[in-house]
Amino acid sequence: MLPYSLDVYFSVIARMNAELWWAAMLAVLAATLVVLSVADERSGWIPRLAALTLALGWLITGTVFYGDRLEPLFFGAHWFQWAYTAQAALLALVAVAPRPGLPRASPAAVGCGVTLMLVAVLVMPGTEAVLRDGWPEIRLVGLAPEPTLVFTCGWLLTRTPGWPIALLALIPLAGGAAAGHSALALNWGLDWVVTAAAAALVLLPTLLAQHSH
Amino acid sequence: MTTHRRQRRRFLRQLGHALGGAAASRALPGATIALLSGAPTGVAADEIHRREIPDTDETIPAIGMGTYVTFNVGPDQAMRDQLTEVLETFFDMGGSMIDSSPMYGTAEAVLGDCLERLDDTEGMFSATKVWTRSTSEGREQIEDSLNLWGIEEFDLMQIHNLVNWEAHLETIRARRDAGEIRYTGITTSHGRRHDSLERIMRDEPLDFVQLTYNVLDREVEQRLLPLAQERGIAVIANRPFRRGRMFDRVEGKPLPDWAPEYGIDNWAQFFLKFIISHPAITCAIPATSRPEHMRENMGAMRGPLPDEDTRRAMITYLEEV
Repeated sequence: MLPYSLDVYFSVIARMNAELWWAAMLAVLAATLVVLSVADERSGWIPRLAALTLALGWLITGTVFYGDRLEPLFFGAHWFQWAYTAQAALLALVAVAPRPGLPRASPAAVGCGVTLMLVAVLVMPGTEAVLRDGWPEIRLVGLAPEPTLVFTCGWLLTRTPGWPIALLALIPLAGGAAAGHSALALNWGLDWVVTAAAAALVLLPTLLAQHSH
Repeated sequence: MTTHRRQRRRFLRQLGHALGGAAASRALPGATIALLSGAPTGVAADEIHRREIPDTDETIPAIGMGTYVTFNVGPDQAMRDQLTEVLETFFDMGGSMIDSSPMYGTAEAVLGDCLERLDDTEGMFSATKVWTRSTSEGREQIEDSLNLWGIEEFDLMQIHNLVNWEAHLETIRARRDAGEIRYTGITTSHGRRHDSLERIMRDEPLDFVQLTYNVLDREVEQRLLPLAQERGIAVIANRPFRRGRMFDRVEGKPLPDWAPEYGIDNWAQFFLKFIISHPAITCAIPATSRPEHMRENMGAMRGPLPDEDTRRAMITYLEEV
């Protein structure tokens, strides 16, 4: 049970976007650069920079959205703030750790991951613009949790599976479950995209590995 | 003009109270109030149902107002304007009891803002809760709630979902003894902790309990409602519409043919009349953010109430649709 309605949730998003429009634009620009970086990884530092950019997005979403904007309306907001801060710390840690790095996954996995990232940057906000009242009632990657989760699931799919990716997948998986609850509680079907992205993060690497064999 | 109409209605209602609670309310039917005040006659076609708080001479209207979700709107001015209209409709149609909680985010702050915009909230029965594991925070919460509501005392202070209930009950009783709170209560919702609630109801002198009761969730009929009657505890029924989901169930479905005999014009009144026709129930607290829904809800306080046979027919009808 969530103690706010869908309209109130989007009014929080709208106010945040209107007041921090410059941050919203920067976040979308940064997300676009991360998508482009996957297409051209000439240096091992590129995925590390992408992970650091993602860490910043999680930190901002946790601090600004949950810690500041949603906190007065939702008693559980500070738990989410801590989870988002923890994910930011994990991303930063994996980004700067000398080993094992963040090697690129198979082309098929990268294709799936990039698709999810584009869904987060373009399809989700575009759909919301149609279903809601347009700008500023649009959730954007790097400021709002749902597209940030989908984008992160997509980016993690573009990396070779291993313990760093498994570690980085834990909180997004929990986020996918929370989004499913939210989809039911607020009757907002678009949030199922987050749950689907989390499921894809678990299932796709296994399915693709089986297929390649 | 609006202010004068409201004051006249409020005066008539207060006159009813002064003349002797429930009996006087019957003596001053809603139709009379409607005629004199210009309220819509469609819903004010009969008397207002009031319920006695056990072991007192005080009565409260059988329909109150909850604030969960609906009043948690933050700083949004358009939503606050609409909620002020909801509140005005509530008072205009004879409402009195408002229930909130610190757990409901900004609900208490928004409620306080809306109440401040109304020039007359006399007759309001204010109910909120303590919701924290910390005893000292509980004391602070009561002070915060007073400030947020903008009132000097609460009529009813409840312990939310039994959290740290022993310590908070002590705090609330101390404040009641000091004349700062009139009634004590304890709450639970959606069937959790009924066994614990039953033990507390048996062991502790309580004025109110709040629990979930509606036409589909009737578990409390078995033990808790009879116990409340036996112990002289007033009962507030929360989640009367299962957070709106009951309307999804009946969407597009007709009311039973016999509904008009009981002054039931819509599904909200069907659900609410079922609840307030139980003899143990003091008050149901539906929540809404829309004035037209508030008018429907408050309409359930008027007209005949279903008898036992009709209550059974209501259950059967709802299970079949």
